[in-house]
Amino acid sequence: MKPRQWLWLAGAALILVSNAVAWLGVAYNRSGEPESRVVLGPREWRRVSAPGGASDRNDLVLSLHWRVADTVNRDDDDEAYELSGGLGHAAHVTWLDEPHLTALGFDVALLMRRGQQGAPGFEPARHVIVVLELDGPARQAALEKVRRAHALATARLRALPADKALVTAVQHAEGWLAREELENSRLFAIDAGNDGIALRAKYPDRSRYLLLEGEVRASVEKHRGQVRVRGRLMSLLVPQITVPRKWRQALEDPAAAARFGLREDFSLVMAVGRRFEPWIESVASPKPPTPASP
Amino acid sequence: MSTPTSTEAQRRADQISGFRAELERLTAEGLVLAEQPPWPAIAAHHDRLLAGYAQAFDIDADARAHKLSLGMRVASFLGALAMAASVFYLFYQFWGLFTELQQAAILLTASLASLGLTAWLSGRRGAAYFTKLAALVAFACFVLNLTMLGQAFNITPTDKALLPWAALAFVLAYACDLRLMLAAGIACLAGYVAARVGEFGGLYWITGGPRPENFFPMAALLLAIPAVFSQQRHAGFAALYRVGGWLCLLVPMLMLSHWGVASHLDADPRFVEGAYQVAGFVASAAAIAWGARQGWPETTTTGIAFFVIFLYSKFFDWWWAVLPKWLFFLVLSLSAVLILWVLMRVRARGVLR
Repeated sequence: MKPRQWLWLAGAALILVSNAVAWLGVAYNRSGEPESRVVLGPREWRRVSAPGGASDRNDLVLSLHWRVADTVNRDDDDEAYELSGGLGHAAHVTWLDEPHLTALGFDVALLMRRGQQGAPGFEPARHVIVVLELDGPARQAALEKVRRAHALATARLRALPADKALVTAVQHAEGWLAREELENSRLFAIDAGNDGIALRAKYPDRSRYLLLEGEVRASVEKHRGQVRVRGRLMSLLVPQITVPRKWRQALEDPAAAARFGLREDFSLVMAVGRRFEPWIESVASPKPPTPASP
Repeated sequence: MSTPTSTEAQRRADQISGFRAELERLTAEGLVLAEQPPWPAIAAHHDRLLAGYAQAFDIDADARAHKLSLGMRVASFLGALAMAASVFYLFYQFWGLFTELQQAAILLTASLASLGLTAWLSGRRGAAYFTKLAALVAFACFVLNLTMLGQAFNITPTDKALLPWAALAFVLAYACDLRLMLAAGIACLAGYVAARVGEFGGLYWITGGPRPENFFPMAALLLAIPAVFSQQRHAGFAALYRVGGWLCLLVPMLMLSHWGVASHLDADPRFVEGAYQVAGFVASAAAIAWGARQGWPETTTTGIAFFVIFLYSKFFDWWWAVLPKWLFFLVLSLSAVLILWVLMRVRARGVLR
């Protein structure tokens, strides 16, 4: 056989082996009981592409809509900060403090030193495992905060009923409270680490706590004359989830959803496997909405 | 005599063309009588060689064919790009109609079929440009194969995909004598090595780029390849490796000379920037000298280009804000004249071959 023919055979073998490796990876990820399995309502995901959309794609791709539990620069009256997080938002996170960043492998001392020298602090992103909590204490805290803001605005208006600004503030607080109870995502990023087993031991409820791979950055900032290092949760490494064709019909077409015996506001059952890679396992009728705690 | 490769045949055809042009001139100047021996026999031998080459390969037998083939190369390159884009959008257009299993089968089949088509065309006479087109489509299909498989099954993006892409690009480059594929392979391999170096330090591979020093091992590897493995049978491959190697060395140095904070070195970023400015000048000068000594014009050209860039970027740092603009640009032009003068002196001494 000529050397060139060997090259062609090697090329074909390369294609076959590469596909086989990818397939084996998928099979391994989905083998056994999923690492976690959660039921996500419509508020926890967004459509990235859909047939007929601007992207020219014919498949249905979703992105998880997650939030950070607490932002550094939060403004108590600003819902936008409360909703920040997720792809493109790169939210600062209070729990990504200096000891936590050191534990994740960042050279915080170097960043601090550079910050004190007036040089820009820079550390490339690191690959971590992010803990996402579904409808847990972080969501309750966010809800409580909005209720407090609503109660405060209402009390102020009661004291000065003619104040138009306070009327607007109450309307704003009412809208925010309604959205927080019924629309805003209940999925919060609450922790990150390098060891998946340790994180799972810390958060054992597999139907509430998702472990997914993500990206964290550290940067230096000056706050009230003091240099400090802050962490940013950049994005998940698998930011988009492709919906299998058999479930796609139900998601796209309400009539098809009815055929599947589902309501329009159905939920997705998302599983995460051994390699922390997610997939849509099924589409399910929604649970009754979480009752707002009094 | 061993069977020549297409590259060797083209090189010989170029030599024959040059020889004939010079013979014509010598005949016109009266120094040679072309009708007398041994010239007719030589001309007949050359004719036989060229006819044999034309039978076996797609070569440019004369200067006119050479000019035409340049246009054909451009057309085949643009056509290949458009074809690759077409494949990309075709996949997406109908993607949602298939189940995951069908998608995986389509991706695998497209990769294998496009590779098979390239292999079939590569053995056909007169199909050199179509082979190039098919090779680029085969590469695009394989890139899409792994990318879309990753999307369909929500696989975490990984730098490891760069390795099979690089390997297939090298296979296509060496099987079809394609410099474009070699460049693609070098780019994929450079990305992989830089990402791996970054991952040893725990960095996420996509952001391995912000540590420009991660490309230095690749520079050493690329410069070593043509020194260790002869690229004689593939025109321009050795030069491409060397240019790639110098780019992997000089571009990171240029970045770090302005952005010291991105360095792995635990030192004051200003010191790092200064150190890389000096290193950049030294490395550029070394490329010029080494290229001149070895007779590698591409290495010399790369060195000169980066020497000028390093010099001008320093001029900008020092003088843009303080000098009047006319004086700043005058200094630039005078420095260009100075560089030209130095290079002419070097050439006159016969250092640059």
